[in-house]
Amino acid sequence: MENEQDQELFLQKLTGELHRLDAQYDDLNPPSIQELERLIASEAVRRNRQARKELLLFWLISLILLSSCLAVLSSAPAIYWVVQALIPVVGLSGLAVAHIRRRREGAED
Amino acid sequence: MSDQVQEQIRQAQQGDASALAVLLREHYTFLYKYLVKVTMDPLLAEEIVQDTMVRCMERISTYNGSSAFSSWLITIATRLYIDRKRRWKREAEWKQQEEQGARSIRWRFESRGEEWSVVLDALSRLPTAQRVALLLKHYYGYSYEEIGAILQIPSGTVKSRVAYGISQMRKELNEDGE
Repeated sequence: MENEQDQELFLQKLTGELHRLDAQYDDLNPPSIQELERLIASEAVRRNRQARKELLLFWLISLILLSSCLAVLSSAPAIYWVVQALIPVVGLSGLAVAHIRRRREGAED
Repeated sequence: MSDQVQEQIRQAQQGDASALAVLLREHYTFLYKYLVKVTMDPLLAEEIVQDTMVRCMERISTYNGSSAFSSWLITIATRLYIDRKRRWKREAEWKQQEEQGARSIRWRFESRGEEWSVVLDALSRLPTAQRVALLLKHYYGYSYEEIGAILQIPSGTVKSRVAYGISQMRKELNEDGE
């Protein structure tokens, strides 16, 4: 009971100090509407450029992969099927390792 | 959320840059103040506010109104901060930056003739994960489930982080004789 009251007092004190910290930045000047509009316009241009570049890269890699697959399938079908079986195994293992690592980092924090 | 904000969001989602600019400007100070408390570093807070604004411009069309717009911004900003911290490989450098940030806040208090607080000092020394959970729970009033959704962790983990954060700070303050 006493501990709960102490905790309540502590939280009140913490909230008060955080309000004081907030008040230090009451005179903050956010960017003007014009500045933000310029940023929005330049970001839109950058995103469009990036999307075009990514699409081009996607087509290029797809073309390379497709032609290599067809070449391997026609010359060495056995290797083609081994590679097809390995890809999902490697992909899923990679995802599992990344997931475990992220959880471990979260626990360390 | 007010009708005016909802209307601004709707217009921004339809590609109205002016509406988006107004929306971002109105939330700028709120977001900055949140990030100062999370990072305890005004310079880093400013950088992450800008990254959050850019991310918001990219994803405004995906905002579905299931949470307040400010909560959506908090979610983006918190995840950007956590990602940045994850990329920061050398913990020692990170610690050094956090200490510099806390010093700069302290200087701001003192330059305005206000006393620096031992409570804020203890908060700045708390591990990031506990600090974020504690702030979201006891300053912003989110539930454990909502914080879990923001941080992408189970609500039980949030609960233990909040409890650890409180006990750690109280222990430090008791040692300091507060």
